[in-house]
Amino acid sequence: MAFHSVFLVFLAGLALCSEAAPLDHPDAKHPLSVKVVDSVRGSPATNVAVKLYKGAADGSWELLNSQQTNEKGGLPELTTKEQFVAGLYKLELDTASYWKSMGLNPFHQHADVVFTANDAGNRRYKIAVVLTPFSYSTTAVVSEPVE
Amino acid sequence: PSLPQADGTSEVGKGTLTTHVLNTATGLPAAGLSVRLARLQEPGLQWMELAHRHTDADGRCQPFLAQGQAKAGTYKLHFETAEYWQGLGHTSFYPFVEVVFIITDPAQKLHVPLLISPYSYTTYRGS
Repeated sequence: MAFHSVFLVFLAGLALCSEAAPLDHPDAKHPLSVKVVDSVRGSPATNVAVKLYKGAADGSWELLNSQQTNEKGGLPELTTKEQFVAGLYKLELDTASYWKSMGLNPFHQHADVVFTANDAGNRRYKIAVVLTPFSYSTTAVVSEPVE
Repeated sequence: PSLPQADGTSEVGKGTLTTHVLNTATGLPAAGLSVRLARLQEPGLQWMELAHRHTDADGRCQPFLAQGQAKAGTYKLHFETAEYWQGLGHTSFYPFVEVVFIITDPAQKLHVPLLISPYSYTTYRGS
């Protein structure tokens, strides 16, 4: 009897959480999902300043958005489906400031990820970046074109 | 050994910068990959290209900076990875990889390897 009530409370809590939690995965509205991880501490890398640029025809970079990673190391709403058209993009993570704020002197000035997107229709992108003061690794998981 | 030592003296002296590119999809060195080194010049914050090399069969190149040539500052290694993957008949996610790093001690030997697969890469400060 007690277990049954606890279970119902748990389900109600889950329902509330799934409404309120920031989206971790790319979806139709926000097709680019970024996750930054601190692999020294085994934790999300929070408050990392990230800039998203789009490559212009003349070779220059146009700043689209500037955001800090949240408590999950994510960047919800970094871009929207409308803004994220086919083209060349650059994610620039200010990793040096992240490590310096912890009193460390890192090797890299920043971690850049340059990629082309939506070449054959709208895809969903999940980009993970794993950091240490002397290394970084990035991986992309790209869906087939959707819609 | 990556460099010949014909006259008995090592060509890899103090303050050199080397790289090593490995194809993690095949577990083999990435040969014939174009790599450029540039230094951020002040004032004006312009990138000045210092060297252009191609990796050999072992995925390595001749050192990018001669002894005494390294100055403290911000440097960039630009790897033409998409061109490399295209040469093998693969598509890849990144048109190129740029690694932007800081040299604080010009006398220190620096090794900046790059591990690549079509949808990921890893870089670190080695020795």
